[in-house]
Formats: sequence, structure tokens, C-alpha cells
Amino acid sequence: MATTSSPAVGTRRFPAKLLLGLGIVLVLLGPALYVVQLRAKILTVPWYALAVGTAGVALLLLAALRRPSVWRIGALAVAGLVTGAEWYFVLSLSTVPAYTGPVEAGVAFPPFRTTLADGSVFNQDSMRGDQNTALVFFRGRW
Amino acid sequence: MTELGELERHHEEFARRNTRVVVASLEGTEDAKKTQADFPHLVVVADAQRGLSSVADAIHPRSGPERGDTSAPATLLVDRHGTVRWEYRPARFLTRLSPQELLAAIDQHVADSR
Repeated sequence: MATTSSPAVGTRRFPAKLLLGLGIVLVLLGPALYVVQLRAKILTVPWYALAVGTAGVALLLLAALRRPSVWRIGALAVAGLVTGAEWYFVLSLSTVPAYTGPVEAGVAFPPFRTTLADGSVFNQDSMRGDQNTALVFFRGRW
Repeated sequence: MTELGELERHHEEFARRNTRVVVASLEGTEDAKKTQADFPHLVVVADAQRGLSSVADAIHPRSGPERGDTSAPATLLVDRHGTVRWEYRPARFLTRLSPQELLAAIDQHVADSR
């Protein structure tokens, strides 16, 4: 009885070309979703974008292992660099130094002196009076 | 500036809680004037001399343009007696409080907010 050889089930279901395409889409999807998030004015760490990008790199790696080619290895290298940079930005560059100051809940705000936009003085006494104060530090106009 | 726009948009809800929103950065008076014009219901502090930011330890070194210092995002609730009631300091500058979260914190931590 004659037999025919066929590709392994996993290879047939997920050919390298499909893995490559899916990987590229996932790597691009992370930043695209973050843009959508920012437009929705939601200011949180986009962990999902990192996860999606990493999954994309994993698929590109699988594609390159399954059928190595210059294109697949190049795509893997570029995607790896982009996703690595995203992880570095979130885990290192965006990290704020640990707080070591004197401000503490339940304690009077320490003495200070600064100015408002109109040049008038703003100090600890300015936060006493009829109203409560929500003091928000923002990064600036840039 | 997204953060300030959202705070400005909810200014009536802060007013209902007898709370004014004071926003501070390390920028000078000229930039602060522009920010004040853009967000008239917020109180803008020009803290270029760092009198407030140093005390509040809200400075992120070398994280601004040209590796200059900038403000570390932080939100402090101070009651009308000048006592700190609550503070929020995210581990990463990508994270900020939403107005809804700040309003909830006011309701929870500032007893005479209404």
C-alpha cells in the first residue's frame, strides 16, 4: 500500500508565512492600541501593549525557526528591537524616583514658598481657609 | 496637558466638593501664564524656584527636555486646615489619576468635602 508524506500537523495549521504576518500585526498593534488609549484620555501604563508586542516577537521567532530567510530574520530583529525599547521605556525610563520627602498624610503640609502664575505668593498658609486643596504636580507644557 | 484638560472639564464637580485644584510644575511664570489661560478654573503654580516641589519631593531628575529636571507626577489632598489627608505617587510617569479617581479620593479622605 502506497503512502504519501505530509507536513506535520502543526506546520500545516500555522505555516511560517501566517506566523510572520500575525507577528508583524501584533508588534504594530501594541503602539496603535496605546494611541487609541491616549486619545481616550486614559493615562495608565500600557502593559497590554507590551504583552501583545512580545507575543508578536514570539511568533516572528517561530516563523524564523520554521523557515529561516533573510526577511523573517530581519523582521524578527526589527520587532525585537522595537519591543525591547518599549519594555526599556516602561520599566526603566518612565520610573519615578522613590519618594523620600517629609509630606505625610495626617501631618500639616511643611512650610514652603513659591509663586502663582500671576506672580503672587503661594505658601503653606495659602492652603488654609475655606477650601480644601487638590495639589497636582504635572510635567509641564512640553 | 491631557491631565489638566480633564481636571478643567470636571471643575464644577471639584467646586461642589469645596475643593480647588492647584497644579504645579517646574516651569516659569511665562509658561504658567499660558497654562492659566488654557485652564482658567485651575490655580497654576510657577515653581521654577522649586520652593514647593522640593518640599513635596515631586522632582524627576533629568527626565525633561534636554535632560533637564521635571515634575514627578503626584497628587496630594490637603484639607482646609492645611493638613495633608492623602497622597498619590505613581511609580511611573505614564500613570496619572483620572478626575473620577481624584473625586472619589476627595469623598473618601477629606471629611468636609461637601
